[in-house]
Amino acid sequence: MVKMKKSFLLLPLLLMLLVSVNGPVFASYEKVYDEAGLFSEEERADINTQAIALSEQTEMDIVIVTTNDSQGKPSSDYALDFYDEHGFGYEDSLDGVMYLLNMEEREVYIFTRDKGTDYIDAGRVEELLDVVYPPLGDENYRESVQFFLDEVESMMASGPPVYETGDRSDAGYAYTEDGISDESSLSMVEKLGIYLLISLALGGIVIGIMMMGNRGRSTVNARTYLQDNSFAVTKKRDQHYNTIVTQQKIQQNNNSGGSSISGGGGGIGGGGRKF
Amino acid sequence: MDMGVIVYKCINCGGPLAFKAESQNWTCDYCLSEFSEQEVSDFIVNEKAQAEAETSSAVLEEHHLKDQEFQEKAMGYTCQSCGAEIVTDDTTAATFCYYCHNPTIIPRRLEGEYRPEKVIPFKFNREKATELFVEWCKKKPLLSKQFTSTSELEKLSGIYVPFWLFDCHSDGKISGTATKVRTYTSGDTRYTETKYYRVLREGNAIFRDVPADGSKKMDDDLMSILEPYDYKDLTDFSMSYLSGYLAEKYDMDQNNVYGRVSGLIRDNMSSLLRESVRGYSTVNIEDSGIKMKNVGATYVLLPVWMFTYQFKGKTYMFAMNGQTGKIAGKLPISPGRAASWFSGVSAATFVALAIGGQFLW
Repeated sequence: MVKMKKSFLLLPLLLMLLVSVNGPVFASYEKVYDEAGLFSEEERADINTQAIALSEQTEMDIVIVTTNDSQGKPSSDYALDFYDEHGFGYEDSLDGVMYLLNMEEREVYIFTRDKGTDYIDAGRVEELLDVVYPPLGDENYRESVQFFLDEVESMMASGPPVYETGDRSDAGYAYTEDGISDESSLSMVEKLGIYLLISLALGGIVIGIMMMGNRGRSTVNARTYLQDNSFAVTKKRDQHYNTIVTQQKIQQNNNSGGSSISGGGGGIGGGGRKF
Repeated sequence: MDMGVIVYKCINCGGPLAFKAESQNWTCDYCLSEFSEQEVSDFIVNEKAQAEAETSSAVLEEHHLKDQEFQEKAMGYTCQSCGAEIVTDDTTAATFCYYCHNPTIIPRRLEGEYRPEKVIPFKFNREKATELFVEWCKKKPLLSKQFTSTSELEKLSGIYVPFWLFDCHSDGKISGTATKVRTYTSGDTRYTETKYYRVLREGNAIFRDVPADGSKKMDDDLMSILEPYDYKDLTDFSMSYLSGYLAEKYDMDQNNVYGRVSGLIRDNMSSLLRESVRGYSTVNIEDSGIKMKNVGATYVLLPVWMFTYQFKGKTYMFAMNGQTGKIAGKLPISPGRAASWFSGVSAATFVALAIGGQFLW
């Protein structure tokens, strides 16, 4: 019994050790980086719990960051670097949304990545800023973050943004419409020409098969004259001597409209507002 | 007595006897008596014994030698039934008299080294062969309809074709390179991993009764398409099976056809070894060595129905396996039917696409 108790004590100890050694592995469970010290411990824990729940629900990372020192960078660069350095993202992806309070610049910045950018495009970033901005003037940071979480939840629940035809200035899905218009631009004559080619090819294949069948064909194979079970493999060698791996970038149709930053792999978006 | 040809005679009435494929026995067309193989050969032995008793053996022997010399040069034989001369080429072992159509066998052509060990008797008669051929033709959509309606179909003959059946043990070795290809995606990168292997296989096998025809007259490609024969019907050779059919003796001995057979066995052996290399995306065999040992050949006669067909000024040759009914040969293609099939299929596809296209976009 004594031994059992000891090992029970040992387990949390080991876990704590793992946390301290392999910090980044558990980083995804730490959603609040309050470097400016704007939240109480209770507030931080509460936001963290909500952010984890929302992250699971939306299948993308939700991160809250405050800082007094943006290292001389504009908020957009600071946000991107912070996001990359901490390896945020949901599971294997880079999907996520980050709320940044840059106290040095007195700016609130919304950073989006991949799925985050798909759902929260430039228009929605502006909507989000409209919601989270007002409390900041009263230094009500906790409330601003709460609005951020609630608004992201409702935006994600409503699905990706839909664009009316013609309203393409910041539409991320414009390429789809282009694709359709290309398809329908095939003239009737061109279509009939393609059909004719397909028809002639099929006719040719059918005739070819019929011609092949117009004669007697061989039906013997390697086993026809083999004495039953007399074939035996006496020596077998399969020796691995080389491996070559080639890689290829998958072309993705990134929706990088609005104020999204191009370069660095795409799928990055965001916007900020000074208070 | 002229020993050059044999006519099997009915034990009851003395009329000519022919082997009947459908009943697998000998029937006299005159008195409709039926005989088994045993009965026919017993009768022949008795007749011979009687004849020998009449002539002293020494005289017979002398007579025999002169006879043989004459026959080998002249290749002429006299019909036992009507006395007319039977003209054959020097590989024919069984034929019909030109004048009285009596089945005639020239036993000397199948003596000694030319005596077949086994035979598969014909399994169906001329009418059935015609029927099978017409049925086969009807299934061919590109064949002119006139083809099967002409009287040309009567020009078919049942021939016992000389075949060599080879048995052999084979040892083989193949080697080459093979790859396993795997693709996976990580982030926005697709990785293609190709693993290279050196593969080697050694094995052995026994091949039984690989056939090769031993007659120059017979087209090798045509004969190989008739395969396979079912060897369970192989029976000990008896001259009496030939009665009522044509028969050839071999003019290519086992050494002449061995090249063809060994090539075949080599191919079979390497494809068996190749099949044993499994689980790869690509396999490239670079080297193979196949050896053969314990090679033995059996001389047999196998039944073939031959059709020689004149159609629109061209001669077409068909062969039918006299045991299984399998057909070899190339049918003429009717340009009219080919064109109508082509335009029919194309037009139908075009209409389907045009109509379907309206709904799709």
